[in-house]
Amino acid sequence: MNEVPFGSRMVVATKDQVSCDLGSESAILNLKDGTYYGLNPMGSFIWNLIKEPKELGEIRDLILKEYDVEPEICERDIQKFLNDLSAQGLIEYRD
Amino acid sequence: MEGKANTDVTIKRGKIYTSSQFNDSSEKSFWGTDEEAYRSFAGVASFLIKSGREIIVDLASNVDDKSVRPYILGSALGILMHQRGLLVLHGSAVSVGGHAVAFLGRSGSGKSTMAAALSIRYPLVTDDIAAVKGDMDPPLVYPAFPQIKLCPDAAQSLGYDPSRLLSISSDEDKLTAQMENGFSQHPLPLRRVYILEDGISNEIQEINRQDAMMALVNNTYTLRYLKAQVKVSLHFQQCANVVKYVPVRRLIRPRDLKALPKIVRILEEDLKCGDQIILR
Repeated sequence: MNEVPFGSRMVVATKDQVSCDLGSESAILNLKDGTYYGLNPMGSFIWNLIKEPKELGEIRDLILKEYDVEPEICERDIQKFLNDLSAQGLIEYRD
Repeated sequence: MEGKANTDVTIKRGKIYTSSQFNDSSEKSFWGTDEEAYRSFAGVASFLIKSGREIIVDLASNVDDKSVRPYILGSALGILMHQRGLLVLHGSAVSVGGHAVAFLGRSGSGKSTMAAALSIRYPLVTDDIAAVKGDMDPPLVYPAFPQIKLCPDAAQSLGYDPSRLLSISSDEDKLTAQMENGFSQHPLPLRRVYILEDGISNEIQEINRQDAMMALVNNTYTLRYLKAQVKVSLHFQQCANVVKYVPVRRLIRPRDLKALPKIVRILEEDLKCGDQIILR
């Protein structure tokens, strides 16, 4: 799709939402269309990281420190998760 | 009503002119701005609730005070509480040793009946609309009025004589039972929330926090008035706080008045296990 390698792509949560933690989970409200989202602990972990702009590589490395997972699978799952968030207008890429 | 120097809320009769607020001339039963909310009940009255301080009641013709009172004490006051920044839920609540236990559900879900069954041993806090101060740990529930709306079957099943209870209005098939015993004027800490659901068996289920969050959102009384972003955000935070600080569970039971005593026992068991609640 584009030529920026996974690690250096940068992503951040958009301003059109509010979120809060629910213990280990999170909830997000999309202010543009009033849709609510729930995030499981892994999703919450990533979401809290990207409240400030973060490179995907940094997100991956922080996850690998916390969780026991293969790097390739980790990258794939991060990408999928971020794609979902992006499709809902909750995050934007800063390339 | 006599004017007082430090009046908290003013409720007065008046004519409400609303045509300028509508896009079309058809009847709209509610609208809200940051400062005002309008709610009308066909054949009963319209209400204009202003800035959390004033309720104007525009009675329909041939409606007496008795018929409009439940709407003032319920809907209009509920909206007023929302204007004051409280989280207003479709919920009943009782006091268990000074702790509020709430039951959430939309109209017809049985929360009044649940409250009435429990009020025999646990003083009523509110029977239909629960106003919650959601920015604290634990959140606080404000008491409403020491009365419950019941349909005649439920009233009878709970040991009341329906013929001796006040009817709410000539149209509705509901009665008002007074529940003054132990009623407290003080707000109480919210220690447990049960989401009422119909089911085949009597059981209490755990619910994950995301689902609990959605249950609170869906059981918000004033959802339709949440338009401005700042209000939506505040509401969101309030719901999240409740979910964080208060255990939320599902209470599933069949709609069987005869099963109420058993459900009360199951609830008492659930309230005994862990947490800070100790049943005496």
